[in-house]
Amino acid sequence: MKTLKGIVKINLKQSKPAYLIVGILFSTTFASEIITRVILRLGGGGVALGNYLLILPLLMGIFIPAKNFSKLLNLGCKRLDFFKACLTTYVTAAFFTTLVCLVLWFVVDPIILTHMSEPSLYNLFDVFGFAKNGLAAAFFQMFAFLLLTSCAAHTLTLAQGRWYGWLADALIIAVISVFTPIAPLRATLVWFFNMIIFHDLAAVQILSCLILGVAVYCAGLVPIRMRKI
Amino acid sequence: MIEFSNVTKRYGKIVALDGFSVTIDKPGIYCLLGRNGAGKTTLLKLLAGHIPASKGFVAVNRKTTAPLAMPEEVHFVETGAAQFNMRLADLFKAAADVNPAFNVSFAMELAARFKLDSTKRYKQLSFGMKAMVNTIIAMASGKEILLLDEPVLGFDPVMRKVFYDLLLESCEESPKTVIVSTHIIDEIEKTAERLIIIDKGRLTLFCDMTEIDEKAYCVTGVAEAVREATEGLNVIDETKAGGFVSRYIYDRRIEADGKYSVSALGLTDFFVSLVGDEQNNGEAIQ
Repeated sequence: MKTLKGIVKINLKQSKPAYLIVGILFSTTFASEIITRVILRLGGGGVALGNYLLILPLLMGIFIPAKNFSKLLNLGCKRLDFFKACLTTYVTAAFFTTLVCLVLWFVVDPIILTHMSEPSLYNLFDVFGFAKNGLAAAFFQMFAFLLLTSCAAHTLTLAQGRWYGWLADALIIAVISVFTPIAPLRATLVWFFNMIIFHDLAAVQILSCLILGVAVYCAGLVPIRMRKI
Repeated sequence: MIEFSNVTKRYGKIVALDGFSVTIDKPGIYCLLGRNGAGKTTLLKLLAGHIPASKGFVAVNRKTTAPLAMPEEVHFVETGAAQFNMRLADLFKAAADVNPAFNVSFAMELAARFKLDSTKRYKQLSFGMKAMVNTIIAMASGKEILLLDEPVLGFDPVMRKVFYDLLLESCEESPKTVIVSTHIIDEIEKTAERLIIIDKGRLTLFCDMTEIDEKAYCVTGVAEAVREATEGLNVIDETKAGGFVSRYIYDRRIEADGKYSVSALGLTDFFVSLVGDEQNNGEAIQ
């Protein structure tokens, strides 16, 4: 347990590239929003600030296996501990990212809206339809979705450099490019996104994300086993 | 206890270890020797559980090692292992976060003895100093089995001496099994207690270092006399110069006489004699 906590602590500390990207994106957008909408009072609807933070768990899912794996093992970490600790890291990251986004949604966005000439901000809680289910449900819906994205990014990153990694990349591209133009296949794609994002029942969406996230994450055991240090 | 039981490791068509068996049941410093590509790193990685065996099994304290069942007792340091770019003091704390048995104060003490500035970040260090940090992390890991792959690569002679002294001190303080793979044979000769030589993925020799002093020697003299004197002995190599011949022996001692001389064989010469011959098939010697 102490080891897992230690690995989570290191993972959270050593995710600087992810923090840097999100930080730059967030601060430049924030500055741009203040100048264009609040000071100059230009333009119509904008994108809510919190949306930019939502890519943090995804980026952590890429950078942790890419940058931290070998270094953690060189410090004496075991592969199975890395597997267990990363999931805890992503749960922590998804939890706090969602929390901060909610705070921004409820505290900062209303302030910006009052200063806008045409008050309208696109927030992913609204776009995904989470907002209509109430605050608590919206929180867990976004949390589950972010956890799914980080788990998928984690497993795909670990698999890169192996044949099944390239196969997974090719399959994802093929599914998007082949499924989209063909109506019956597109319906499958719509069904999939409906399950993980747009479902009317919050519980179904949350469960779909959690089950799929855990399944994809467990598939990451195969590349973890084979990955060179 | 470490056990390799008929272990074969293949990378595609390349056989890195071929039916390798050995049992290590005594703590101490083991010198692992072999030519480039002999299978040393593969052996260490199998023992650390970083890679699975293609055939046979590797066990530490009767538990089979595997990538998802890496032995808790083992710490492995690879050549040129990358570390987080932190200040050394923070890096040692991070090692303690990952491994509760890690001794931070001992690591700091070792860093001081190696004259490492613990306020420097890892990337600010030279190649040799980075290797030193990796070695310190292993020595302070508190594990009972340390696997050091080329630990002195990039060390200057003074640092190498400090390293071997520390290794001895560390093993005296708390008995542990340390397997050191190196190409700088003469220096490890003074420190190591046992020797493992592998060639072409097979175990060529596993013995106490004292056995080398007792059984490895060179007989030089007139060809006919040398051949006659060494008949029936285990000749591991032979060199000729005119009518004279030198035979390298690993067997019971013989005494010199007027027709030939008998001289001690250093570990480097013994190793080269044993595995230097391209015709050698990596067969074990008795």
